[in-house]
Amino acid sequence: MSALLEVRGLRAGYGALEVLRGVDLDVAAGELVAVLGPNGAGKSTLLRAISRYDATLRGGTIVFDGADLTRASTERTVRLGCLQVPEGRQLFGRMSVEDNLRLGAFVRSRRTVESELGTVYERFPVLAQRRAQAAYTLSGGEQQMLAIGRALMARPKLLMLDEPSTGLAPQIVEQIFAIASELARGGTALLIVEQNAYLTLRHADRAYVLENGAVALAGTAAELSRDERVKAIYLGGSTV
Amino acid sequence: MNARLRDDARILAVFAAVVIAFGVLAQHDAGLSQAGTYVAIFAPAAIGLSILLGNVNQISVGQAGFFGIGAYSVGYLTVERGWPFWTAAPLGVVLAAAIGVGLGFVALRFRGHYLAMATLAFGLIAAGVFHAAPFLGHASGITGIPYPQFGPLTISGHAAYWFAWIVAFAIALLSLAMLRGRPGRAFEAIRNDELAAETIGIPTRRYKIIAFAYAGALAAAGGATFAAFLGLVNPDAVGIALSVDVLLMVVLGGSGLISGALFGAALIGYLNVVGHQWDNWREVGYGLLVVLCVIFAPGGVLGTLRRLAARTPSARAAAPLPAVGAAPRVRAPSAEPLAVRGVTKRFGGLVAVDEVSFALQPGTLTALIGPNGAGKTTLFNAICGVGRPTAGRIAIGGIDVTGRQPHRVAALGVGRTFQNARLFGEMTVFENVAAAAAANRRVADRRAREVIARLGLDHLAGVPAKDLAFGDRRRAELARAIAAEPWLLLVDEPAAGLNQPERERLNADLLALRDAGTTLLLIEHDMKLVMAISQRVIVLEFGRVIADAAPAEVQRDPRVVAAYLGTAT
Repeated sequence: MSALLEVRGLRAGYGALEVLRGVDLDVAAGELVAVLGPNGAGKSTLLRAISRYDATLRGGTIVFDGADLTRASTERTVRLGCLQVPEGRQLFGRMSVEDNLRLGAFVRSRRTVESELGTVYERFPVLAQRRAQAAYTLSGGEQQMLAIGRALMARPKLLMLDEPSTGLAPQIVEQIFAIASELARGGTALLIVEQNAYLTLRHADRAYVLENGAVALAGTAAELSRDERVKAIYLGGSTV
Repeated sequence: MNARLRDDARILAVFAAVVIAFGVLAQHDAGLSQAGTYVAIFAPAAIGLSILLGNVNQISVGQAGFFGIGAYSVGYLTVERGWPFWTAAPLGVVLAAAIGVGLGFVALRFRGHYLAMATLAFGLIAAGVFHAAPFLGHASGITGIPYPQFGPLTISGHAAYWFAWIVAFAIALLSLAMLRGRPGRAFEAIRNDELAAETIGIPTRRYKIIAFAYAGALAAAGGATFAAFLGLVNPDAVGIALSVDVLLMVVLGGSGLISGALFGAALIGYLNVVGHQWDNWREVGYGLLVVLCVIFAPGGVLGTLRRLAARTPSARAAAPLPAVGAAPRVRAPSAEPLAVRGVTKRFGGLVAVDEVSFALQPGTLTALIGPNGAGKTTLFNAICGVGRPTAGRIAIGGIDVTGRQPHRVAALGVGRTFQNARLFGEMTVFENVAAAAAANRRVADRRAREVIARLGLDHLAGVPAKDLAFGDRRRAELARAIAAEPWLLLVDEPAAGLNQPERERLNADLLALRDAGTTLLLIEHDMKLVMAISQRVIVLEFGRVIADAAPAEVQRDPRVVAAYLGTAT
């Protein structure tokens, strides 16, 4: 299986700050891949670099579905099907649920929007119930679903979630991960950044553990759940 | 000395020569002489606003109000009360300063556009009062204001030119001296970063109010000479158009430069004279000029010329200072450096810090850790006086500081660094550090040199903070925090973004500070660093303390493991 996303030797940061110091990572279609690591390891920066959002690239390559993303704009990465659901969801709060979803299909042709809306409402019945409500009136879990639904409107090949569990009750988090697994089974590739290592490993196929801007550990989720070194990276023990 | 002030003083000397030459040439040409006097009359108002805008980053679109206070004071007191100019003018200046204090208090509540609106409103109110007050002559104002008498000499005609310029230059030199001293450093720090300025002990509110009062007083001084030499004052002369003119002078000339204000006053004065024949089109021209200036020369004419001139000789950039080595001086604390008792901080419905209590022993290094959003930085802020806790008490060295302003907490010997290294970007490393060394200039400069040498930053002392590499920026911020010789130092994520050698250096620096007797509280996500150097680790989760023990113990604590890695079930 050849990779949908291929990241090689990626170095990126903000201004004078270098956060990523050479990261290699692959995601294949239909795979759920987790990026773990303590605060400040560079997890979010990795997503922001791939989606070409705001991190400044300083070296390395990002190839997505055969296209070079290193020189692409954010808009182009979205058109290519590489979507990010940002941390904190970033919904258009005063707009209705349905308008939020329609905006998600901004890069797609008008004809497809209605059928896509139907698909998203089928996946998230609660959004259909709340279609006319302003987004800010939704509960935290519903907002996270709307953020994912909005990204799905663009028919992504790769969906990247940044800390989807933040501020959500454990039950809701389970629900979000169930949706992610379902999407992966449907052929979408998923890249999920999370603090909550053990929970994420239970749902992921593979994972990378970042430490200080580089990949410290990589492997299947099953291997890593048993690996004591993961704990050491989070809590500062020795990794050797 | 600050390069900007040095250049400013040089340009002022050139200006003085030009003013003298112009005065000699124009002595038999009444029109020219009067035009020159005009420029001198408006110059003080421009200087005041230049300091307010360029040095303190506060805008005012109501300076004509203060100008009017000066002018009407002289008009009313000399014509109606028979006072001499020499007592009427100072009274007007003092009155304007007092009202400036009032406007300063109002300004503390506003920023940016809103501050512009508030000051504009002040200008409108002032103009309205001049128009409405029965003893100020309504629309026709006050006329027949006598020329100032100096002994047997009546100051009028060309003598007015010399007098007005002497006043203008005296004000320029006074302002320059102020900017060179502690107020100048405080202004510069406030302009760059208000919060960081507070945490190194600068009373930012007080200095902002001082700046408004000073700018108001200067405008009133100009207004007083205006009334005396034109012999009249009316609401139209001190209306919004004048406020805008003064702003134009500063923006076109170069805000933050006293010479820029003089240049702007001369430019607008000249254009007012020349542009008279085009009358209505003049305003259009000014508008275009400002737009062009903001796009192509944002520092104003002189600011831009200065930048172009400074670009060529790059040698100036990093002039190293002589290093002075010395051991740290640390005050011995008599009580617990820090005691936190039941501190809670709520933001709306969210409880960011929940009943946290702990105390630190002198000369220890304690780490405060926890997952994202656990409330660590909020707790730091509460300790430093940024945001009063909803409940609970905080004591520094046995003194209750709950709810005190940050600069007052800093004055008790509390230093702090920020997650995102909040240096004063436009200032050099040396100026950053010296601004924090609360003392007179000479002592502050010496202490800054010591600290910079101790942290091995000598080669970067003359570099503006915004041009530093990331790791150096963090070291410079640490140097600034140490310069005030705190005995309690709060360090927020100092290792974030540092590479391995830089981390090792940081490690050594923090231990050296501890060994010298400083009490340290450290927020850090690099657990290797935390576990290696802390004697004690306090773990927060959802605002609560879930563990408080030695590093090895904390690492084994199942609650801590769950907080960091989650649970599989």
